[in-house]
Amino acid sequence: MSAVDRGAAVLRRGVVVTDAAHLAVVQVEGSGAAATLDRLLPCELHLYDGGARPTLLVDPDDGRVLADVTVVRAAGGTLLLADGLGAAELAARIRDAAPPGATVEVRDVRDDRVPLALHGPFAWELAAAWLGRHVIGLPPLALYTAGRAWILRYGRTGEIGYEVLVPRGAHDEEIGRLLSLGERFDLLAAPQESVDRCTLEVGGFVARRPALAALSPAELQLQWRVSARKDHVGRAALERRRAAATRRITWFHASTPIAEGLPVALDGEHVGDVLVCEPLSTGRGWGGIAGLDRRWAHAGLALETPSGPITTASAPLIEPTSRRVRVHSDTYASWHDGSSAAAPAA
Amino acid sequence: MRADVVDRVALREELGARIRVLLVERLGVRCEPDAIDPDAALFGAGLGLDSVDAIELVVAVESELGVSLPDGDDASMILHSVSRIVDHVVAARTGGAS
Repeated sequence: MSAVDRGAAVLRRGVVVTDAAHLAVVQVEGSGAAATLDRLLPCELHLYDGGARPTLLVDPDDGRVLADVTVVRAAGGTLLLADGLGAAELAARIRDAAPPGATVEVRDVRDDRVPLALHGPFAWELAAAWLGRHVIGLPPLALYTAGRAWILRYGRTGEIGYEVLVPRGAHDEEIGRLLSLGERFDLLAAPQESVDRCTLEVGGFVARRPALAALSPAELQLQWRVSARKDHVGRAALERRRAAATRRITWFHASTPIAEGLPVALDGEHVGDVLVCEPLSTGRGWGGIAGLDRRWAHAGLALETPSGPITTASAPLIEPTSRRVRVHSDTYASWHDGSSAAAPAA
Repeated sequence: MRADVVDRVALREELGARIRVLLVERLGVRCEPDAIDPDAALFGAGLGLDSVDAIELVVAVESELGVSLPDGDDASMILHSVSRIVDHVVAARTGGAS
Protein backbone atom coordinates (compact mmCIF):
# COMPACT_ATOMS: atom_id res chain seq x y z
CA MET A 1 0.00 0.00 0.00
CA SER A 2 1.44 3.38 -1.01
CA ALA A 3 1.64 6.39 1.32
CA VAL A 4 -1.21 8.00 -0.63
CA ASP A 5 -3.38 4.86 -0.34
CA ARG A 6 -2.67 4.61 3.37
CA GLY A 7 -3.38 8.30 3.96
CA ALA A 8 -6.70 8.08 2.12
CA ALA A 9 -7.74 4.97 4.06
CA VAL A 10 -6.87 6.53 7.43
CA LEU A 11 -8.67 9.74 6.42
CA ARG A 12 -11.88 7.71 6.05
CA ARG A 13 -11.62 5.97 9.40
CA GLY A 14 -9.80 8.32 11.78
CA VAL A 15 -7.90 11.54 11.28
CA VAL A 16 -4.93 12.72 9.23
CA VAL A 17 -2.87 15.89 9.40
CA THR A 18 -1.32 17.57 6.36
CA ASP A 19 0.93 20.59 6.09
CA ALA A 20 -1.40 22.36 3.64
CA ALA A 21 1.72 23.60 1.83
CA HIS A 22 -0.30 24.09 -1.35
CA LEU A 23 -2.57 26.68 0.26
CA ALA A 24 -1.94 30.40 -0.32
CA VAL A 25 -3.39 32.57 2.44
CA VAL A 26 -3.59 36.33 2.15
CA GLN A 27 -5.28 39.01 4.20
CA VAL A 28 -6.83 41.89 2.27
CA GLU A 29 -7.29 45.19 4.05
CA GLY A 30 -7.83 48.86 3.30
CA SER A 31 -10.74 51.11 2.45
CA GLY A 32 -10.87 49.71 -1.08
CA ALA A 33 -10.62 46.04 -0.09
CA ALA A 34 -14.33 45.22 -0.32
CA ALA A 35 -14.74 46.91 -3.71
CA THR A 36 -11.62 45.22 -5.05
CA LEU A 37 -12.65 41.72 -3.98
CA ASP A 38 -16.16 42.30 -5.26
CA ARG A 39 -14.67 43.19 -8.63
CA LEU A 40 -12.22 40.27 -8.67
CA LEU A 41 -14.35 37.39 -7.41
CA PRO A 42 -17.35 35.98 -9.29
CA CYS A 43 -19.52 35.28 -6.21
CA GLU A 44 -21.85 37.71 -4.46
CA LEU A 45 -19.80 38.70 -1.43
CA HIS A 46 -22.55 40.67 0.26
CA LEU A 47 -24.46 37.42 0.84
CA TYR A 48 -21.67 35.98 2.96
CA ASP A 49 -21.13 38.52 5.71
CA GLY A 50 -21.44 35.87 8.40
CA GLY A 51 -18.72 33.44 7.39
CA ALA A 52 -16.82 31.92 4.52
CA ARG A 53 -17.79 30.83 1.05
CA PRO A 54 -16.03 28.82 -1.60
CA THR A 55 -15.65 30.59 -4.92
CA LEU A 56 -13.17 30.68 -7.78
CA LEU A 57 -10.57 32.85 -9.40
CA VAL A 58 -10.98 32.72 -13.16
CA ASP A 59 -8.64 33.72 -15.95
CA PRO A 60 -9.97 36.97 -17.39
CA ASP A 61 -8.88 36.03 -20.91
CA ASP A 62 -10.08 32.47 -21.33
CA GLY A 63 -12.42 31.81 -18.40
CA ARG A 64 -10.56 28.76 -17.09
CA VAL A 65 -10.45 28.24 -13.34
CA LEU A 66 -7.13 29.41 -11.90
CA ALA A 67 -7.77 28.72 -8.24
CA ASP A 68 -10.23 27.30 -5.75
CA VAL A 69 -10.72 30.26 -3.42
CA THR A 70 -12.37 30.47 -0.02
CA VAL A 71 -13.36 33.95 1.11
CA VAL A 72 -13.41 34.36 4.87
CA ARG A 73 -14.66 37.40 6.73
CA ALA A 74 -12.29 37.97 9.63
CA ALA A 75 -11.67 40.71 12.13
CA GLY A 76 -9.41 43.30 10.56
CA GLY A 77 -10.03 42.29 6.97
CA THR A 78 -10.86 39.48 4.62
CA LEU A 79 -8.87 36.29 4.30
CA LEU A 80 -8.53 34.48 1.00
CA LEU A 81 -7.41 30.86 1.03
CA ALA A 82 -6.43 29.82 -2.47
CA ASP A 83 -5.52 26.44 -3.93
CA GLY A 84 -3.99 26.65 -7.38
CA LEU A 85 -2.07 29.93 -7.20
CA GLY A 86 0.83 31.11 -5.07
CA ALA A 87 0.41 34.03 -2.69
CA ALA A 88 2.48 36.41 -4.86
CA GLU A 89 0.37 35.79 -7.97
CA LEU A 90 -2.83 35.95 -5.95
CA ALA A 91 -1.74 39.29 -4.43
CA ALA A 92 -0.88 40.65 -7.87
CA ARG A 93 -4.28 39.72 -9.25
CA ILE A 94 -5.97 41.36 -6.26
CA ARG A 95 -4.01 44.58 -6.75
CA ASP A 96 -4.72 44.55 -10.49
CA ALA A 97 -8.44 44.35 -9.76
CA ALA A 98 -8.47 47.43 -7.51
CA PRO A 99 -10.73 50.19 -8.85
CA PRO A 100 -8.95 53.47 -9.64
CA GLY A 101 -7.99 55.27 -6.45
CA ALA A 102 -8.85 52.34 -4.17
CA THR A 103 -6.59 51.65 -1.22
CA VAL A 104 -5.96 47.93 -0.85
CA GLU A 105 -3.26 46.15 1.10
CA VAL A 106 -2.51 42.47 0.64
CA ARG A 107 -0.48 40.64 3.26
CA ASP A 108 0.83 37.09 2.98
CA VAL A 109 -0.49 35.49 6.16
CA ARG A 110 2.11 32.74 5.86
CA ASP A 111 4.77 35.29 6.75
CA ASP A 112 3.71 34.90 10.36
CA ARG A 113 1.34 31.93 10.43
CA VAL A 114 1.73 28.33 9.34
CA PRO A 115 -1.24 26.42 7.95
CA LEU A 116 -2.03 22.80 8.59
CA ALA A 117 -5.15 20.76 8.06
CA LEU A 118 -6.96 17.98 9.88
CA HIS A 119 -9.34 15.71 7.98
CA GLY A 120 -11.34 12.69 9.02
CA PRO A 121 -14.50 11.52 10.76
CA PHE A 122 -12.78 12.05 14.13
CA ALA A 123 -10.97 15.29 13.29
CA TRP A 124 -13.45 17.04 15.57
CA GLU A 125 -12.41 14.95 18.55
CA LEU A 126 -8.72 15.58 18.08
CA ALA A 127 -9.29 19.27 17.31
CA ALA A 128 -11.34 19.61 20.50
CA ALA A 129 -8.59 18.02 22.57
CA TRP A 130 -6.02 20.28 20.94
CA LEU A 131 -7.84 23.60 20.61
CA GLY A 132 -10.83 23.39 22.95
CA ARG A 133 -14.32 21.92 22.94
CA HIS A 134 -15.84 24.97 21.24
CA VAL A 135 -14.44 23.57 18.02
CA ILE A 136 -17.06 20.82 18.09
CA GLY A 137 -19.93 23.26 17.61
CA LEU A 138 -18.40 25.08 14.65
CA PRO A 139 -20.72 24.98 11.65
CA PRO A 140 -19.24 24.33 8.22
CA LEU A 141 -17.27 27.29 6.82
CA ALA A 142 -17.05 29.08 10.17
CA LEU A 143 -13.86 30.78 11.29
CA TYR A 144 -12.97 30.62 14.97
CA THR A 145 -10.08 31.86 17.06
CA ALA A 146 -8.89 29.44 19.73
CA GLY A 147 -6.02 30.80 21.74
CA ARG A 148 -3.26 31.44 19.25
CA ALA A 149 -4.81 29.53 16.39
CA TRP A 150 -7.29 30.49 13.69
CA ILE A 151 -9.52 27.60 12.69
CA LEU A 152 -11.69 27.31 9.61
CA ARG A 153 -14.00 24.33 9.50
CA TYR A 154 -13.88 23.11 5.93
CA GLY A 155 -14.39 19.43 5.20
CA ARG A 156 -13.33 19.22 1.58
CA THR A 157 -13.30 15.41 1.63
CA GLY A 158 -16.82 14.71 2.83
CA GLU A 159 -15.37 14.10 6.30
CA ILE A 160 -15.02 16.76 8.97
CA GLY A 161 -12.07 19.01 8.27
CA TYR A 162 -10.30 22.01 9.74
CA GLU A 163 -7.75 24.33 8.23
CA VAL A 164 -5.72 25.77 11.10
CA LEU A 165 -3.32 28.70 11.04
CA VAL A 166 -0.91 28.75 13.98
CA PRO A 167 1.59 31.53 14.70
CA ARG A 168 4.96 30.76 13.16
CA GLY A 169 6.70 31.28 16.50
CA ALA A 170 4.46 28.71 18.20
CA HIS A 171 4.43 26.20 15.37
CA ASP A 172 6.85 23.65 16.77
CA GLU A 173 5.20 23.73 20.19
CA GLU A 174 1.69 23.38 18.70
CA ILE A 175 2.72 20.59 16.36
CA GLY A 176 4.30 18.79 19.29
CA ARG A 177 1.06 19.03 21.27
CA LEU A 178 -0.99 17.92 18.29
CA LEU A 179 1.17 14.88 17.59
CA SER A 180 1.16 13.92 21.26
CA LEU A 181 -2.62 14.20 21.51
CA GLY A 182 -2.92 12.45 18.18
CA GLU A 183 -1.37 9.24 19.45
CA ARG A 184 -4.68 7.97 20.83
CA PHE A 185 -6.29 8.70 17.46
CA ASP A 186 -3.57 6.93 15.47
CA LEU A 187 -3.01 10.31 13.81
CA LEU A 188 -1.21 9.98 10.49
CA ALA A 189 0.78 12.71 8.73
CA ALA A 190 -0.57 12.13 5.25
CA PRO A 191 0.52 13.45 1.86
CA GLN A 192 -1.72 16.08 0.29
CA GLU A 193 -2.41 13.62 -2.52
CA SER A 194 -4.44 11.53 -0.05
CA VAL A 195 -6.66 14.51 0.72
CA ASP A 196 -6.94 15.31 -3.00
CA ARG A 197 -8.05 11.76 -3.77
CA CYS A 198 -10.70 11.88 -1.05
CA THR A 199 -11.83 15.31 -2.27
CA LEU A 200 -12.21 14.24 -5.88
CA GLU A 201 -14.08 11.02 -5.09
CA VAL A 202 -16.81 12.92 -3.21
CA GLY A 203 -17.40 15.43 -6.00
CA GLY A 204 -14.95 18.08 -4.84
CA PHE A 205 -12.54 20.11 -6.90
CA VAL A 206 -8.73 20.12 -6.87
CA ALA A 207 -7.42 23.05 -8.90
CA ARG A 208 -3.92 21.56 -9.07
CA ARG A 209 -4.96 18.55 -11.16
CA PRO A 210 -3.46 19.13 -14.63
CA ALA A 211 -6.36 17.47 -16.45
CA LEU A 212 -8.80 19.95 -14.91
CA ALA A 213 -6.64 23.05 -15.35
CA ALA A 214 -7.96 24.21 -18.72
CA LEU A 215 -11.64 23.79 -17.86
CA SER A 216 -14.22 26.45 -17.11
CA PRO A 217 -16.80 26.47 -14.28
CA ALA A 218 -19.50 25.26 -16.70
CA GLU A 219 -17.39 22.22 -17.59
CA LEU A 220 -16.29 21.58 -13.98
CA GLN A 221 -19.79 21.67 -12.45
CA LEU A 222 -18.76 24.78 -10.52
CA GLN A 223 -21.29 27.24 -11.90
CA TRP A 224 -22.91 27.47 -8.49
CA ARG A 225 -19.79 29.28 -7.26
CA VAL A 226 -20.33 32.00 -9.85
CA SER A 227 -23.05 34.64 -9.86
CA ALA A 228 -24.66 35.49 -13.17
CA ARG A 229 -26.00 38.67 -11.59
CA LYS A 230 -22.82 40.64 -11.01
CA ASP A 231 -20.03 42.07 -13.08
CA HIS A 232 -16.53 40.86 -12.24
CA VAL A 233 -13.11 40.30 -13.72
CA GLY A 234 -13.41 37.60 -16.37
CA ARG A 235 -17.18 37.70 -16.72
CA ALA A 236 -17.12 38.07 -20.50
CA ALA A 237 -14.71 35.16 -20.82
CA LEU A 238 -16.89 33.02 -18.55
CA GLU A 239 -19.96 33.78 -20.63
CA ARG A 240 -18.11 32.84 -23.80
CA ARG A 241 -16.92 29.57 -22.27
CA ARG A 242 -20.37 28.77 -20.93
CA ALA A 243 -22.00 29.32 -24.31
CA ALA A 244 -19.36 27.18 -26.01
CA ALA A 245 -19.21 24.38 -23.42
CA THR A 246 -19.90 21.05 -25.08
CA ARG A 247 -18.68 18.84 -22.25
CA ARG A 248 -19.22 18.46 -18.51
CA ILE A 249 -17.27 16.42 -15.99
CA THR A 250 -19.01 13.32 -14.71
CA TRP A 251 -17.87 10.85 -12.05
CA PHE A 252 -17.50 7.14 -12.73
CA HIS A 253 -16.78 3.79 -11.11
CA ALA A 254 -14.45 1.20 -12.59
CA SER A 255 -13.34 -2.22 -11.44
CA THR A 256 -9.86 -1.80 -12.96
CA PRO A 257 -7.51 1.18 -13.32
CA ILE A 258 -8.35 3.36 -16.32
CA ALA A 259 -5.52 5.38 -17.80
CA GLU A 260 -6.04 9.11 -17.74
CA GLY A 261 -6.43 10.65 -21.20
CA LEU A 262 -8.10 7.63 -22.78
CA PRO A 263 -11.16 8.13 -24.96
CA VAL A 264 -14.59 7.16 -23.66
CA ALA A 265 -17.19 5.61 -25.96
CA LEU A 266 -20.90 4.92 -25.79
CA ASP A 267 -22.09 2.24 -28.21
CA GLY A 268 -18.88 2.76 -30.15
CA GLU A 269 -19.27 6.54 -30.44
CA HIS A 270 -16.57 8.77 -28.91
CA VAL A 271 -18.33 10.80 -26.20
CA GLY A 272 -15.49 12.04 -24.00
CA ASP A 273 -12.15 11.42 -22.29
CA VAL A 274 -10.91 10.14 -18.95
CA LEU A 275 -9.53 13.03 -16.88
CA VAL A 276 -8.84 11.43 -13.50
CA CYS A 277 -8.82 7.85 -12.22
CA GLU A 278 -7.56 6.64 -8.85
CA PRO A 279 -8.22 3.83 -6.41
CA LEU A 280 -11.17 4.59 -4.14
CA SER A 281 -10.21 5.35 -0.55
CA THR A 282 -12.32 2.39 0.55
CA GLY A 283 -9.99 0.06 -1.33
CA ARG A 284 -12.96 -1.32 -3.24
CA GLY A 285 -12.51 -0.48 -6.91
CA TRP A 286 -11.54 2.63 -8.77
CA GLY A 287 -13.20 5.94 -9.32
CA GLY A 288 -12.64 8.88 -11.55
CA ILE A 289 -13.84 11.81 -13.57
CA ALA A 290 -14.50 11.90 -17.29
CA GLY A 291 -15.18 14.92 -19.46
CA LEU A 292 -18.27 13.86 -21.40
CA ASP A 293 -20.37 15.42 -24.13
CA ARG A 294 -23.13 17.21 -22.24
CA ARG A 295 -25.83 15.02 -23.77
CA TRP A 296 -24.31 11.98 -22.12
CA ALA A 297 -22.95 13.61 -18.95
CA HIS A 298 -25.31 11.73 -16.65
CA ALA A 299 -25.06 9.05 -14.01
CA GLY A 300 -25.97 5.45 -14.70
CA LEU A 301 -24.48 4.96 -18.17
CA ALA A 302 -22.26 2.00 -19.07
CA LEU A 303 -19.37 3.33 -21.18
CA GLU A 304 -16.27 1.82 -22.68
CA THR A 305 -12.60 2.77 -22.66
CA PRO A 306 -9.58 0.94 -24.10
CA SER A 307 -8.62 0.04 -20.49
CA GLY A 308 -12.02 -1.41 -19.66
CA PRO A 309 -15.61 -0.45 -18.91
CA ILE A 310 -16.71 2.41 -16.67
CA THR A 311 -20.10 3.26 -15.22
CA THR A 312 -21.01 6.88 -14.67
CA ALA A 313 -22.31 7.72 -11.21
CA SER A 314 -23.48 10.59 -9.05
CA ALA A 315 -20.92 11.97 -6.64
CA PRO A 316 -19.95 11.09 -3.97
CA LEU A 317 -18.57 7.76 -5.17
CA ILE A 318 -18.22 6.56 -1.57
CA GLU A 319 -20.21 7.28 1.57
CA PRO A 320 -18.16 9.44 3.95
CA THR A 321 -17.83 7.93 7.42
CA SER A 322 -18.72 11.26 9.04
CA ARG A 323 -22.33 10.85 7.91
CA ARG A 324 -22.78 8.07 10.45
CA VAL A 325 -20.62 9.33 13.33
CA ARG A 326 -22.58 10.99 16.12
CA VAL A 327 -20.40 13.72 17.57
CA HIS A 328 -22.04 13.69 21.00
CA SER A 329 -22.05 9.93 21.52
CA ASP A 330 -19.33 8.36 19.39
CA THR A 331 -15.59 8.64 19.88
CA TYR A 332 -12.66 7.33 17.91
CA ALA A 333 -12.17 4.69 20.59
CA SER A 334 -15.79 3.57 20.76
CA TRP A 335 -16.10 3.52 16.96
CA HIS A 336 -13.16 1.18 16.59
CA ASP A 337 -13.82 -1.09 19.57
CA GLY A 338 -17.32 -1.74 18.22
CA SER A 339 -19.26 -0.12 21.06
CA SER A 340 -20.70 2.68 18.90
CA ALA A 341 -24.11 1.67 17.63
CA ALA A 342 -23.51 3.11 14.15
CA ALA A 343 -20.02 1.66 13.69
CA PRO A 344 -19.66 -0.89 10.92
CA ALA A 345 -19.28 -4.50 12.00
CA ALA A 346 -15.65 -5.49 12.30
CA MET B 1 -27.52 5.15 -29.98
CA ARG B 2 -29.78 2.67 -28.20
CA ALA B 3 -33.28 3.95 -27.55
CA ASP B 4 -33.25 2.83 -23.90
CA VAL B 5 -30.15 4.94 -23.22
CA VAL B 6 -31.66 7.95 -24.96
CA ASP B 7 -34.87 7.55 -22.93
CA ARG B 8 -32.96 7.17 -19.67
CA VAL B 9 -30.98 10.34 -20.29
CA ALA B 10 -34.11 12.25 -21.29
CA LEU B 11 -35.81 11.21 -18.03
CA ARG B 12 -32.80 12.32 -16.00
CA GLU B 13 -32.76 15.67 -17.82
CA GLU B 14 -36.45 16.21 -17.10
CA LEU B 15 -36.22 15.24 -13.43
CA GLY B 16 -33.08 17.31 -12.91
CA ALA B 17 -34.77 20.37 -14.37
CA ARG B 18 -37.78 19.95 -12.09
CA ILE B 19 -35.59 19.54 -9.00
CA ARG B 20 -33.57 22.67 -9.88
CA VAL B 21 -36.78 24.67 -10.12
CA LEU B 22 -37.87 23.32 -6.70
CA LEU B 23 -34.58 24.41 -5.20
CA VAL B 24 -34.94 27.93 -6.52
CA GLU B 25 -38.66 28.46 -6.07
CA ARG B 26 -39.32 26.56 -2.83
CA LEU B 27 -35.99 26.75 -1.04
CA GLY B 28 -34.81 30.12 -2.27
CA VAL B 29 -31.45 28.94 -3.60
CA ARG B 30 -29.81 32.05 -5.03
CA CYS B 31 -28.93 30.71 -8.46
CA GLU B 32 -30.53 30.45 -11.82
CA PRO B 33 -31.84 26.87 -12.08
CA ASP B 34 -29.42 26.08 -14.92
CA ALA B 35 -26.48 27.10 -12.72
CA ILE B 36 -27.20 24.36 -10.17
CA ASP B 37 -24.81 21.70 -11.41
CA PRO B 38 -25.98 18.07 -11.14
CA ASP B 39 -23.30 16.98 -8.66
CA ALA B 40 -22.98 20.22 -6.67
CA ALA B 41 -23.40 19.51 -2.96
CA LEU B 42 -26.64 21.08 -1.79
CA PHE B 43 -25.73 21.33 1.90
CA GLY B 44 -22.85 22.65 3.99
CA ALA B 45 -19.97 24.05 1.97
CA GLY B 46 -21.90 23.55 -1.26
CA LEU B 47 -25.04 25.54 -1.95
CA GLY B 48 -25.34 26.15 1.79
CA LEU B 49 -28.69 24.54 2.57
CA ASP B 50 -29.21 23.65 6.24
CA SER B 51 -31.23 21.20 8.31
CA VAL B 52 -34.39 23.30 8.06
CA ASP B 53 -34.02 23.37 4.30
CA ALA B 54 -33.63 19.59 4.36
CA ILE B 55 -37.13 19.20 5.77
CA GLU B 56 -38.56 21.51 3.12
CA LEU B 57 -36.64 19.65 0.42
CA VAL B 58 -38.00 16.29 1.56
CA VAL B 59 -41.55 17.67 1.47
CA ALA B 60 -40.99 19.23 -1.95
CA VAL B 61 -39.47 16.10 -3.49
CA GLU B 62 -42.14 13.79 -2.06
CA SER B 63 -45.05 16.01 -3.10
CA GLU B 64 -43.78 17.17 -6.49
CA LEU B 65 -42.10 14.00 -7.69
CA GLY B 66 -44.32 11.41 -6.00
CA VAL B 67 -41.64 9.39 -4.23
CA SER B 68 -41.00 8.79 -0.56
CA LEU B 69 -37.65 9.33 1.09
CA PRO B 70 -36.14 7.31 3.94
CA ASP B 71 -35.21 8.87 7.26
CA GLY B 72 -31.80 9.76 8.62
CA ASP B 73 -28.46 9.00 7.04
CA ASP B 74 -29.91 7.34 3.95
CA ALA B 75 -31.93 10.47 3.20
CA SER B 76 -28.87 12.65 3.60
CA MET B 77 -27.05 10.69 0.90
CA ILE B 78 -30.06 11.00 -1.42
CA LEU B 79 -30.38 14.73 -0.78
CA HIS B 80 -26.67 15.31 -1.39
CA SER B 81 -27.17 16.70 -4.90
CA VAL B 82 -29.62 17.03 -7.76
CA SER B 83 -28.09 14.00 -9.44
CA ARG B 84 -28.48 11.88 -6.28
CA ILE B 85 -32.13 12.86 -5.97
CA VAL B 86 -32.64 11.93 -9.63
CA ASP B 87 -31.00 8.54 -8.94
CA HIS B 88 -33.53 7.93 -6.17
CA VAL B 89 -36.58 9.01 -8.18
CA VAL B 90 -35.54 6.90 -11.17
CA ALA B 91 -34.93 3.88 -8.95
CA ALA B 92 -38.27 4.33 -7.17
CA ARG B 93 -40.15 4.58 -10.45
CA THR B 94 -38.46 1.60 -12.02
CA GLY B 95 -38.37 -0.54 -8.89
CA GLY B 96 -34.56 -0.70 -8.92
CA ALA B 97 -32.14 -0.03 -6.14
CA SER B 98 -31.07 3.57 -5.73
